[in-house]
This record gives sequence, C-alpha cells and structure tokens, in this order.
Amino acid sequence: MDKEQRKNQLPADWKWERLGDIANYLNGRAFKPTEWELIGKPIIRIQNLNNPDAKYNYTRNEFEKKYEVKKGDLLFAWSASLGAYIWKGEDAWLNQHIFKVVPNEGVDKLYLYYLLEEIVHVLYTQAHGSGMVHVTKGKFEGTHIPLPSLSIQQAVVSKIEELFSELDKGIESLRAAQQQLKVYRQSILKWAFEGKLTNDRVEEGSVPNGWRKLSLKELTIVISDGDHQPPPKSKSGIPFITISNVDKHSNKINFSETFFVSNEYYETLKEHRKPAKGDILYTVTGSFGIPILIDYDKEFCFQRHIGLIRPKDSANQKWLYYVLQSPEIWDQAKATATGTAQKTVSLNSIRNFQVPFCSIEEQYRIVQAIESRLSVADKLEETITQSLQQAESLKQSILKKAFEGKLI
Amino acid sequence: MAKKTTTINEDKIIVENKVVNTSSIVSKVWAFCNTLRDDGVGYGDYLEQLTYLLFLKMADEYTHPPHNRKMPIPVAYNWQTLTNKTGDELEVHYNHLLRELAKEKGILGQIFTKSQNKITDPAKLYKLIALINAEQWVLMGVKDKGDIYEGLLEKNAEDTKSGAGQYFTPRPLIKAMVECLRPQPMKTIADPACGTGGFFLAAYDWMTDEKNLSLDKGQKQFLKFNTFFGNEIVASTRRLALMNLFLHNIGDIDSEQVLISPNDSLISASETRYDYILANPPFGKKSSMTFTNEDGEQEKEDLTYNRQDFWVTTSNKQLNFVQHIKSMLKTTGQAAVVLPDNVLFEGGAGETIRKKLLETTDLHTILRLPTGIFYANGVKANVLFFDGKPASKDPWTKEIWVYDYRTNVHHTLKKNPLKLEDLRDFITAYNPQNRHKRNETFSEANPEGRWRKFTYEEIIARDKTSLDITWLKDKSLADLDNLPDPDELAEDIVENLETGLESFRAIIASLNASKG
Repeated sequence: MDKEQRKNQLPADWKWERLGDIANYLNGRAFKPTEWELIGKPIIRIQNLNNPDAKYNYTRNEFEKKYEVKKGDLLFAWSASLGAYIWKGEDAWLNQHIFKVVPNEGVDKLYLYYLLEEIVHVLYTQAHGSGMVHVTKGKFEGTHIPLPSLSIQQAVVSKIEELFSELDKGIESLRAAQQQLKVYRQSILKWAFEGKLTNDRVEEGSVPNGWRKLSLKELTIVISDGDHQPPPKSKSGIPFITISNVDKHSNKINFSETFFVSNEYYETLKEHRKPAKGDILYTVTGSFGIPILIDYDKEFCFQRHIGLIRPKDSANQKWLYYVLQSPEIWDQAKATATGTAQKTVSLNSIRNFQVPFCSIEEQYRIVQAIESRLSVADKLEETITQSLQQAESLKQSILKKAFEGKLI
Repeated sequence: MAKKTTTINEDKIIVENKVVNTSSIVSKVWAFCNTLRDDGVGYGDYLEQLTYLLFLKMADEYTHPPHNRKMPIPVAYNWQTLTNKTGDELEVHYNHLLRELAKEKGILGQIFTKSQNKITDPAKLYKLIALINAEQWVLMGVKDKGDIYEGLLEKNAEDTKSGAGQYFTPRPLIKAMVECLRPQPMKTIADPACGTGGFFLAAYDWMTDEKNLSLDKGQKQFLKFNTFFGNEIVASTRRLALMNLFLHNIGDIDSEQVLISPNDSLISASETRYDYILANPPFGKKSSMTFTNEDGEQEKEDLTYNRQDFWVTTSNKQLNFVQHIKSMLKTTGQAAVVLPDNVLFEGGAGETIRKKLLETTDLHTILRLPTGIFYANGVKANVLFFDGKPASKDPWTKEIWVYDYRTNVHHTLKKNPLKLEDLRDFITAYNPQNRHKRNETFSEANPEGRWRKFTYEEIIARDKTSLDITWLKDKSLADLDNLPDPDELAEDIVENLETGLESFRAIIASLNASKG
C-alpha cells in the first residue's frame, strides 16, 4: 500500500505528519575508547539496548546535557540493528548511532515508541534480509506517520498495552510448556528404565522382577570409534560425518553438508568402523553423549569424535538407543568425561556403562511405550514452535492495525 | 417482628427433634436423582424441580402445628394441590402452578421466576412429589437439609457439560477466605456475583460456630435477616441461591425482603456500602450482551459500563468488578476477592486500576492459587485481600504479602481436590487475629519459602505495576536431577497450554470488540 492510500484510509480526524515534525531526534556522542572507564555513569551503546547481558562502558567525565539519558527516555537505534526502546536503567550517557527522541507537546511518548516499533518492522522488511540497516536522518525525519489527537494516542497506547500484556502472557505459557516438554522427555526415559512403564508396581529404588544391571560391553558385539587418521577428502564418493553434522535436537545426521571420501578409502576401513543398519553412533567428544540410531542402509563413515556401538541380538537396537538417551546413562557419561575445553568420554568408560537390562520382549514393549508418548510430545513441540512464531507476527499485526486507526 | 421471633424459637425445635433420621433421606434424594439422570434430566434440572417442590412442601409444613403460620402461597397452588393428582392432570396443574407462583411477590416470586417443568414423565413427577411428601423437612436439622442441597449443587457443578461449574468456587477456598476475614456480628456482607451463595453460607457457618463467636439473640436476628446482600443475574442460579440460603436458615420462607437482587451489579453504583465483600466474579474476560438486531439476527455487543465512579472505562469484566467492589466497600470495610491473573498483569486499563487500588485501599495480601481447582480450564487465579480506607493524599498500601500456593502445587478436581487443610498454612501465615503481625517464610536462607513481603516502592517500580509476582523455582522446568513423574509433568503442560489458549482467546475477543 502506498503512502497516499494509507493516508486516505486513516480515520478523518487523524493527521498525516512527518516524523521530523512531531519530535526532536538528538544523536548520541561518539565516545572514544580512551574515555571509557570502569566506573562512573554507563554509556549506552546499541548492544546494551538489544542484549540485556552486554557489558557497559562507563565514564566519570561530564558532557553536554543533550547526551544525557534518564529513566523513561525514548531511544531509537538507527544503525546496524534498528529498534525503539524505553530506557529503564539509571542515568546514563548516549553513544552515537542512537537518537534520544524528545516528543513535541501533544505527542505521547509511548504512542511514538510503538509507532517507531512498527516503522522498524517495515524498514526491515524493505531491507530484504540483510541484517545491517542504516537510516539517514533526513529519510527518517521525512517518514510519514499517522497522528491522532493526544487523547486518542493515549487510548491507542492503552489498548496496545492491554493486548501485548495478554500476548506476552500467552507466549510465556507456551514457552513454559515447551520447556516442560523437554523435561517430560527425560522423565519418560527415566521411568522407562526404572521399569515403570512396563510394570505395575515398582518400589522406589528397586528394579522389577527379572531386571538386572549389565555393562554395555556385555550387550554389544563391538564398541569402537572412527578412523584416527585424517581422511583423504574427495569431491564426491562416500559421506564422511563429523560431529558438526549431528543435530543434537533431533539425534539425526544431516547428510546435506558433509565431506566425502573416495570409495577406495572407504573399502580399506575395518568393518567395525563402517556404520551399518542396526548400529548406534554415540558422540564422545565436545557435545558428547548424543546417540544416533542407524535404522537405514547407507554407506558412510565418521570421524574419531564419534563412537560406534553394535548391539548383540539380546539387545533391541531402539531400546538401547533410548537407554543411551536416558538421564541414568547421561549421568555416567558426565561423570567419566575427561578434559577441560573439549570433554571426551573414552570408549572404555562407554564399555563399562551400567545398563538396566531386561528380556528382549520387555525391551520391545518399553520401546513401544516410550514412542507412543514421545511422538505426541514431538508433535506438540512442533505446534508450539509454530505458535510462538505466529505470536510474534500477531504483535506486528496489532501494531499495524493500531496505526491504521483500526484498533480503537 | 413477632414472626421472626417465632422462627428463632423454631431453631430450637429443630435441634430438639434431631432424632429424625436424615441419612436415609439423603440416600433417597440421591437415588432419585440418578433415576432421573437415566431419563436425560440433569442435576441442574433435577435441582430446579426439587427447589420448587421442597419450597412448597416446607411452606405447607409451616401452616400446620406447632407453627401454625400463615404462608403467602395461594390455596389453589399450595402443596396439597400437587399430592392428589396423577398423570396428565398433575402435569398440567404443575405447569400452571409454576407460571402463577412466578407472579408472586418476595422470595416466593423470586424462587419461581422463569420456572419451567423439566420432568416430562408425569409418573416420575408423581414419584418425586411422593418422595418429598413422605418427609417432615422443617423438622430436619438445618445442617442436614442444607448439606443435601449443597451436595447437589456441587454435583451439578461437576456436571461439566452443563457449564454450571464455571462459576462454582471451591468450598475449601471460600472457607479459608472467611477464616481470614473473621466476619463480626451486626455487620453486612455482600457478594455482587453470588452464584449459589457459597460465600454467604461459609460466613454464616463461621459466625454461628461457637468456637468463633457467641451471638446474642439480636445478633442472631441480624445475621438471619440483615447481614447478606447478593446479586445474581441468572434466574436459575439465583433461585438455587435463595433456596440454599433458606435451607441453611438465612432469610425466611415468607419474608418479603429480597436478599439477592436480579440486577447486574455493574450497571450502577451500589446505594449501600458494606462491611465485608466476599466474591468470585464470573470468569471470562469480556462483558458482552446478546441482542437481536433489525434483521432478526443475534448480535453480540460489548458492554462497557459508563460509571462516573469508575477510574477507567473498560470492557474487561474482571477489572470492572474490581472497581465496583472498591466502590461498594465501606472505608472501614474488608474485601477478599477471587480474580484471575490478568487482573494482576494486564496493561492499559489494568495498570491504572492496580495503581488506584494500591493508592485508595490497603491491598495487603495476595494468595496465588494453583490450577486444577476450578471447573473452568486454564484459569490461574488469586485471592486479593484489601481494606477500604478514607480519602488520603498518600497511598494506603504500604506492603503486600504474597503467598504462593501455586508453584509446584498440583491439584486436580477428582484425584487430588483442594482441601481446607491445604490452605491451613496460608491461614496461619495470614494471621487473622492480627494481620499486622506476620512473619515471612521466604529468606535468602530459605528461598523455597512461600510467604514473602513486598514494599509499596518495590511493587510500584515493577513494569506496569504488575502484581503477578513469582520467586519460587518451578521444578517442572529445570530440575533434571529431581525429575517429576511424567503424568504430573503432562498435566503441567496441559495447564500451560490451556492458559496460553485462554490468553489468545482473550486477544481475539479484544480485537473483535474493537472492530466496532
């Protein structure tokens, strides 16, 4: 919609003004690194606005009054990352690339704040993807905006805040549910390997009849890792997996961006370094402890930071895969991991993981019980993720409506 | 006056005659209710018919010795006229009787307002009449017949399909609120959205319990006739409330004074101010009314109440109730109100109202309630306790005490319903005998403490003066070393999703309202 259309669709008593005519925009000061100190008044830089954890620089010097920011002042970052902010901290100095916005009489500060929020969104959309947007003062001040009477501005603000507070609450509830789903996953796995999903009554601290603890090596044909030699990379051939190809949220390998090695190299590898259907991979270095189920036929090989676990017939592959995800095994992995920057779980500690073991029939039932629950949880998580994105859009669409004069 | 004295004496008669075996009656009433349910007559409908019939039967009993009172019921429609008919004749007469009695004055007309026969099988109606006819209800203990009725009300609330439970406040919560307020004799108690009268009954029970108060004759008289004032706009609910109060010995069968007004309490300022207000305004955020437009279509219109005495105009029903309750509270009065979370955090009008409430009243206590105690889904609610105060330049609220009975608390309606015992710790912390002497259980050494004090300055510095305050760690979110049971977590997830849904529904309603 062009400017003329937008203007014509406004309610009759709304004016169509230029940003430059309704407020003053005082740019911050170009503080030099030599002026920075560890004490004094904080200097507000853009990162301090969009990241609450960013560190402040301070200064004890005094500067011109126009650079001073007080609690409640309206700020607008106009370079790199755009955004309007109400300053909530203590008295501070304003760095360059941020305007202190001083509304004229008859202009409500919060009305202007939400208006700028909406404009930012439009500017971003027009900037086509590139994160770096830069607004010239002239262009900024020339932007046309809708402005009703002061009392209507205040009513618009009140309505926006009513809706946004409810919306934030809705988002908060969804986030909490999302977080709880992750815990739920863990809780299901914990119950499963305490036997609680497949046995009626399990006393706290005991195991069901017929269950015992075994070391992982007793359940496996082999536990190995990838080739220790650097692989001869090739443009095509057999995919070679490194830990960066493992998606830790889905426990899956992303084959779309892998290295390749030649067929000849692959053929020279020992059988226990070639993953086959029925194996489980297990990351051992860095983000260790992620099991991956190989339930497909595909030729590929992997780096030494990943382990390979090949179960015996007495261990159901999926069952073992879920065992390896359970809090019980994770605790053992954490406890035995060594190293500081890059933590590593040795193959030996993996071989000695203590695993709750039961009959192959019960293993199968456990897998069924886990999967029926986790599939519901997965679907729900997907729905929530989508809803959260939609909630963000809803915020923008409320603002748009507000400044078309259609909210109240 | 003479009449009322008789009634007091009758209390004694009732007590003396406590030999009557009520447990068999209770089981009979219940059994019949189940029979009717098989015929598709729900608890609500059954309760309604039971109300009409019980009322007529008890009125009839009063006309006989030893009472010999004159009752306002026309002879043509009294109890006797129902007991000597069967079949179609009975049905026709009963329908006629309901219509005619609705035209009467006082409590009689109130009970029969918009009355309808919902029992289509005359044989069943005959049986119900016979069942009631076989008992001497007036002689039965107040507590017993009252409890029969309250029990039915609760059953009715559980009947989720009917939606009756939406407004049903859990009785243990009501009792806890009354215990905190400790209502004193010769003072008035109001509920502007009184439902079936739960708050009144709890207050009455507390005040007549000799462990709490010992009332003299005049005080008892006042309690029975001059203490309680309610509003209830739904005719059928109002009828249940009146009957409920009456069976509990509040008001009287032939009194002309109306205890419960059928008016929408928000329409205009209350003419009277009250000493105590206990309330749980209906859930659902929007105030709206349905009307038929020129084309004969049903339309819904937003209700905004243009009240000069309100701080701000809003279509949020809950916020309007807060303003109304403040306006009907004496400057020496005390209020305890159940309100959903949105009242605590909502921006715009909500923020204005919270600020004003902090300034003009002493908002001293907030009890955060757990989910799973209301019949409506996804509701997170709180009890706000505030005292009325005279006008002043400085804000009256100095500190707010928050009791978090929500974080890591799990209740469900069926498996783990809220009990009064669950709120005992809160009541102790509240310290009803002297609420100015309280001790925090929260401290740096005990971050798990549920009872924490916040100063006015701390509250006013919060974004939008939000009173939605939490500090306890939610175990369902983080504590992987101490995993809760999956079913408990699943319930938490469901609750959060339901709360989220409610938020988004409220947004839709609010956006639709502004289309104009």
